[in-house]
Amino acid sequence: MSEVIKGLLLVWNKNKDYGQKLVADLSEQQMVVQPGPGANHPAWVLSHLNAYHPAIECIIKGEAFEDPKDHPFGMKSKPEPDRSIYASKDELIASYIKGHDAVEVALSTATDDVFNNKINLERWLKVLPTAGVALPYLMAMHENIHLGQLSAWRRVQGLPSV
Amino acid sequence: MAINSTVKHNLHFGVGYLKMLLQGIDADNLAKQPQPGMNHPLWIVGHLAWTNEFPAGLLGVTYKVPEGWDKLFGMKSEPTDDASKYPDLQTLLAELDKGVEAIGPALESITEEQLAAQMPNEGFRQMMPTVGDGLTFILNGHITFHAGQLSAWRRAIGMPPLF
Repeated sequence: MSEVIKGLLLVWNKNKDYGQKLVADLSEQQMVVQPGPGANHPAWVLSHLNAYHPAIECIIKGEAFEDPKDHPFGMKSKPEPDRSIYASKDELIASYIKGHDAVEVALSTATDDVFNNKINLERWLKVLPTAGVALPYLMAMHENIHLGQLSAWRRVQGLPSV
Repeated sequence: MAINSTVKHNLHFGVGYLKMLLQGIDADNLAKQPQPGMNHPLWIVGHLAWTNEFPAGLLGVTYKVPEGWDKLFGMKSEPTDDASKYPDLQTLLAELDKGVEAIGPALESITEEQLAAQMPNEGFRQMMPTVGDGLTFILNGHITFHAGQLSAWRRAIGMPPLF
């Protein structure tokens, strides 16, 4: 396995563990608490991240995928306080783990050639043209942005650091 | 695949995103803590600047933040809402840019063998076994993690989302 792939998987697996810890002590109702109007809450963050996992797996496999933007929890969606919109905490965590594991398996068996894969989504071609740009962004950057939001969300709620 | 087309690309993205998040924040709010102990903008930028000493060391680059910043922004530091304790935002951002510029050329020329080298810092070795692991984590995951905190901080003080 190349050092670049190893580094990406290290961050990816750390995120898998950390993401679970960030919500471990939350009640179902806390999952949709918004400190301010429209603020991202844990249920939306996990739903949003889970929406990207199939795309990441497809990018590794060089396959086409549906635009995550159009997903019910994609970037066009707004976090809502209605708990019934979202899956249960256990289901969200299970999906989060399953998505992470699928990406890990796919990338673990790849070589650096995977980074030459062209992105099979027209909208992303200008900003994330190849897997070499898209995978580090989606696995290390995008996911950490939202986990950082959860970290700060916890502190706003008066919850301890994890 | 060269490290400069992954880690470096995203390092610049992360810094750019951080700067976007800093736009529009009232100067009086830069050390505001919506809850005690919460990371505020001055601490986040200073911490990320301070952190650059770590990848610089891994890359063999001589780079140090100003004296006293370890106490203000190091891993054991606690953010305080007293803005007078911190350098101003412009100084902090200039130092962050300086560190990124210092690291860039070394990232471009690093080899697969150097990336595979054992993490020299024993304390981090279990978490990040190799130099490549450390660079990917610190320059990509870590910076955007704190940018995400800043994003949530903005909302907590009533600022609108960027997008």
